[in-house]
Amino acid sequence: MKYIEKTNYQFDLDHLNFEWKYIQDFVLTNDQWYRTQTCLQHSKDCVNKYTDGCGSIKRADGSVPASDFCLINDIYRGTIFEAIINELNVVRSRIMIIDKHRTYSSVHADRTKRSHFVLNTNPYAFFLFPRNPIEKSEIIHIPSEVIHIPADGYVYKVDARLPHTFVNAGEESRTHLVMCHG
Amino acid sequence: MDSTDIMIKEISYDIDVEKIREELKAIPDPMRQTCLQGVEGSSDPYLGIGVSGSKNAWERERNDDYRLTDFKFPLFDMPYINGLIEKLGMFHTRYMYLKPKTCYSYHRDRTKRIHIVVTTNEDCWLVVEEQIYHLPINDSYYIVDTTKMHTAINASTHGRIHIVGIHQQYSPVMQLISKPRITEVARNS
Repeated sequence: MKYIEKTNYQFDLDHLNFEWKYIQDFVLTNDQWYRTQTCLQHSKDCVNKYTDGCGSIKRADGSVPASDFCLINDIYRGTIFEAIINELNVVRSRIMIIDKHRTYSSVHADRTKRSHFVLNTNPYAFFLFPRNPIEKSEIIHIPSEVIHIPADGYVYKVDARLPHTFVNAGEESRTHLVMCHG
Repeated sequence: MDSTDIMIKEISYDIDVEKIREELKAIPDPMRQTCLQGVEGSSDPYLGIGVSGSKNAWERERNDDYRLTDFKFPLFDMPYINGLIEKLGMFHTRYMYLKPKTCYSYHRDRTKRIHIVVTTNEDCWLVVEEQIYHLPINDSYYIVDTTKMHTAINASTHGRIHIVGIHQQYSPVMQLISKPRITEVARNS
């Protein structure tokens, strides 16, 4: 079973980071963030185009599929981000930052596969995929896959439908461009 | 994993976690790491708390010159916990609260650690050399080989509490590697 697969899609990491840094520092406003996430795409029914697709989209309306978030947000028009979204034909794209010493909550399974492009990371930022369901009473060893995705300019396909979580046990935050396959 | 490469060893013991929880109500700030053992002449429960942020934990900045072995005096009126600490021969014992959705830096210590689990759930793990472990609450304590690269993860929405200490038996090189104590003469010179 492939948890994470390196694709042949490659983009200019420096260019992405240059554009992201500009957008993060000078364009995005506080209300365009949901915690440490912000959307690059929205659905036609969004109230806030930059946050409605963040977090669990079930929180707003469980019936909204990821594929509805297919419209590019204005500030990303003409950027390398738009080019990547078009080339990969992806939906519900988000920038997701995990601060140092933070984790996602609990092991969970998403509805779709995801493509990840790493803008920045550290060696101790990793996905954790338990191979079997975790039994409450069970000690102790949980056979798992611990996988770090490097910032090497390639797109990685993550089978987020498998139970997983993410841990950043490093000293710097990590930033991924996360894109859903509808 | 090689059978000789045991990262975590469970030791069956008659630990009463309810008693521990009751006594831990004396902790001044339950959402902060707190020493249960201090040095002679000090009642500061935060003196022996390290600063996070280094791959090699012993390289972290310290504000004192004490050896870990100096942290051996009970700081709180916790008869059951202090009794356990004494019976298990622990020193530099700390109450360790790990906030929800957080983890420690991936690091290694110079000594193995004894863990007594006080509050946990199935989304709390230790990662040691990329192997994942969950320590359940039972009557046992655990010896964790924290000399290997490791971190603790709380991927849940509830706090996790362990009592963590050092035991000389499981850390035979302790005396050799402890930070040399600066004498009063040296301090004053």
